[in-house]
Amino acid sequence: MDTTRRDLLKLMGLSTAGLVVGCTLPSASAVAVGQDGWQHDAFLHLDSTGLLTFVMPRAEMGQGISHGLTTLVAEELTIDPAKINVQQAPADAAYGNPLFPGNLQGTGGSTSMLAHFEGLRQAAATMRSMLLTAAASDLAADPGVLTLEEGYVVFGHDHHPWGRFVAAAADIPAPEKVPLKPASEYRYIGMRSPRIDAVEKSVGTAKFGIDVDFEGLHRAVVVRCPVIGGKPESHNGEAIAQAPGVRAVLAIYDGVAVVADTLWHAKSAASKLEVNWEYPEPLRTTDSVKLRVDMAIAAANSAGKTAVDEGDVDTAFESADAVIEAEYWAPYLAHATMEPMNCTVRLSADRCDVWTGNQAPGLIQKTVMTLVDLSADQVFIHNQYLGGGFGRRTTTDMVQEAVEIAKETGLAVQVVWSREDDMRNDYYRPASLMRYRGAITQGSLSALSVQRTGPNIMPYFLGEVMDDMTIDLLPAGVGRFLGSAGSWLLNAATVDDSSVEGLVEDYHGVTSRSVHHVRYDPGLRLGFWRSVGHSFSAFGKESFIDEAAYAAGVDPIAFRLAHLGDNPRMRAVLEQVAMLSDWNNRRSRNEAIGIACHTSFNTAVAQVAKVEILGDQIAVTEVWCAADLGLVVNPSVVESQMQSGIIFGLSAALWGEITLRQGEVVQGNFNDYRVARMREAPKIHVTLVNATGADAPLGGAGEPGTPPIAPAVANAVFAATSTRLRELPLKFLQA
Amino acid sequence: MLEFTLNGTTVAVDAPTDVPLLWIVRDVLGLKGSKFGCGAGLCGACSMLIDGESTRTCILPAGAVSGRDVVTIEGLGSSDKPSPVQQAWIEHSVAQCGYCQSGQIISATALLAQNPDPDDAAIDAAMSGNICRCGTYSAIRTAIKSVAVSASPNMSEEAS
Repeated sequence: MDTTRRDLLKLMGLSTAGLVVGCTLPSASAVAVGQDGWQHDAFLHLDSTGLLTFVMPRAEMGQGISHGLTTLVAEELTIDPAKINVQQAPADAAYGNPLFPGNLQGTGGSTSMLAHFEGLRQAAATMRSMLLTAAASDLAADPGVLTLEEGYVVFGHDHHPWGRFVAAAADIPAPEKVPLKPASEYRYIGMRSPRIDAVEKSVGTAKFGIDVDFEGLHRAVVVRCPVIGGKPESHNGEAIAQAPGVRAVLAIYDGVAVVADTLWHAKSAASKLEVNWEYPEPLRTTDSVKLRVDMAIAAANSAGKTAVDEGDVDTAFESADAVIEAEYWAPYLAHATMEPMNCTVRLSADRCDVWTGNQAPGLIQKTVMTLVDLSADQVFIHNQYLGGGFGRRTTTDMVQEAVEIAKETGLAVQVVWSREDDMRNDYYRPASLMRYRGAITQGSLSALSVQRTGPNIMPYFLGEVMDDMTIDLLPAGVGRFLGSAGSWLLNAATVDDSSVEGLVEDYHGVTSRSVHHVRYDPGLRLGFWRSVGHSFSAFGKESFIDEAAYAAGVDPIAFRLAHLGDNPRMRAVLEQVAMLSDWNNRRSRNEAIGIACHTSFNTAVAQVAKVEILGDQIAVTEVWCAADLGLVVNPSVVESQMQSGIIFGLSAALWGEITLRQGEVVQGNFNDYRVARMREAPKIHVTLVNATGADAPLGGAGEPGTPPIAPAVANAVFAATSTRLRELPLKFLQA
Repeated sequence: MLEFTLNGTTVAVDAPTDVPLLWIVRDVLGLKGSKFGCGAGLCGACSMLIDGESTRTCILPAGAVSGRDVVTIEGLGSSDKPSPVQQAWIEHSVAQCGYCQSGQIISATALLAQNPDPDDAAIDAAMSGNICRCGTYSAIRTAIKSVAVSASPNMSEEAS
């Protein structure tokens, strides 16, 4: 760990005297630990009864990071992860994500395991060393002969409960750098074990943001502008203020809130609310059909900014045997987490408590500070289990609503979104138009060139968070101005990496490559959608490479292998998935199978999809998946994440599409934003490989399973029908 | 006054009978295991057993369960004593985010009570009303089959 013990003590507001027994965690009320005990650092606490508490710095949204990070701690302290008391971290700099800018306390980008793999093991190993040193002194033993075993210090044949040594261990100066367990001694890392959250998530006791409840809590619904970004000009709130159970009707930043004793009182009254809106331009005049045409015109009228320019693309095209071109389209998408957005706030003159499930509790704390006059140590964020994240819960819009309502009404309030609210007020995956060109020379791609047209995600995120991020440094408002200035700079002067990531990178063997970007943005707000730019770039890249393979008359897997260059992880997963799926035999039997591969978040994934075409319906019946993310902490969890990524991507591939009519999002619920159900879920086979050895950088698990599935299915449809589907969602044009 | 049986106990609630049962159970009776997902009977997160049938309670007026038998996830078992289906969910680590799983377990419980040895088609038919955005379908199928094959005697014992 970078942070020294002295720094942590300072952080916790304690003197630097040796005594840490019985001290409390930062924002202690947010975390339930034993009454007494040893606060080793911000993450680990051991009490005299032997209960080990791990304060989990990342958000658990289904990806299994709670199990994964607990396993790291468990390994160095040799205790079953299921025996550890895991608590969600409060908002505090101690729990920042070292891989995020400014150490932001957020979870995303498939970074969590890489971010904590060294640090948490080091923290636990240090605790082990101090415990054993204390025990050695107490037992008059050589520390070298003592070991830890499931909550006991083992000395010869004797087992001593480790809680007995807590007080003495706390007085020992922390050693500088303790050796970590060698991989050969791993008992928990790399092994399969039931997830530690499996019990509470199977008996209904797992607590999500929407489950928070207490005496005096009021419920609120917000009627928002049908076009996102519109502001309420006037409303007939007085007419419904006397309705049963209604406590307040008030305009807030993005709509009109109805606060009532119960949710149905609020919903019932809100259905009679009439609001006049100030609509945002130019979004209000945007229709999806026209948007698609306008984007194509923008693409045709500009070469765009250069993001990649390698080799000599022009010469390669001039000397090519053949040039192929194709255009691919990916629509806007919603996240549609199972738990709709919600937030609970209780506010008093000197304290604000926020309960929600969010990927960025660090941002929430700062959002609250921009809205009410409180300091960080007066703002308590109680992060709950997230009923799905997928990138949606990185913003704090729902928090801002609840805090504004609580501030204006003086009531403790829970804002609950309907499914339609959630679908129509998302931060969407950007629509993208990708035009690929390839130069084929002697059966190989000698040049690959792509132009992506569409809006940038990052300016929307920056615009929202800059005020929050700078609250400690700048007056409120200045940060927002800087955010918009930064957004302008991103749009005008540079290329947003999330707009172009993944468009060509995997094929190092193609020596001449170029990527250009044309920004076109009608103003629909955007966010991070599981795998971000890779969610569309993989579709373009892997559809096009398949087209190139067919044009060159080469087997699609062989063609990909021939253009990888130095890309050992991808080579390994392509070879694995060919074996796993029995690719060559199925191809020779003309089965409807397609391949796609894509690297994202340091993880290489290759997938083979098998389809059945019934009339104009595409059914995906089986998927084979090979992934290389280096060392795997829990294979069951990672395999589940690959399955999860595939199903998530499959829903988007077959049905996912958010469209606009006069700027309003058309889709509202699962009837018109269809997602995969049990009967549509293919049989999925996952295998994990590690081609680059134990010391290779860890790859992510939560997102990399998503990008390859859409092109794998499209390529299988081509194998079955000789029809290239170049638009998502995949559908045959009506005859 | 609305009266019905909830997890084996008779409850009486003074609330409008046109309010969906889900909100009565969650916000009046305080059982939070059943979830709100869509408000339109499309996703199954709110499923409860009503006289043994897996039912979408986000669109069911509470008055409709007057005098009937309602079982929620809390009524199936507990962390100390999970039901066979819950036990299978735990052993196979089915849950990811976990939000939909109460509804999934309710639907699987209803299926197995009616058909102790369901094939893939029966599982598809019974479980396709429950959406999981984490894509745990394959684990759900495995867990259901593990109960069907190994623990079906226990199931019929519990049902009797």
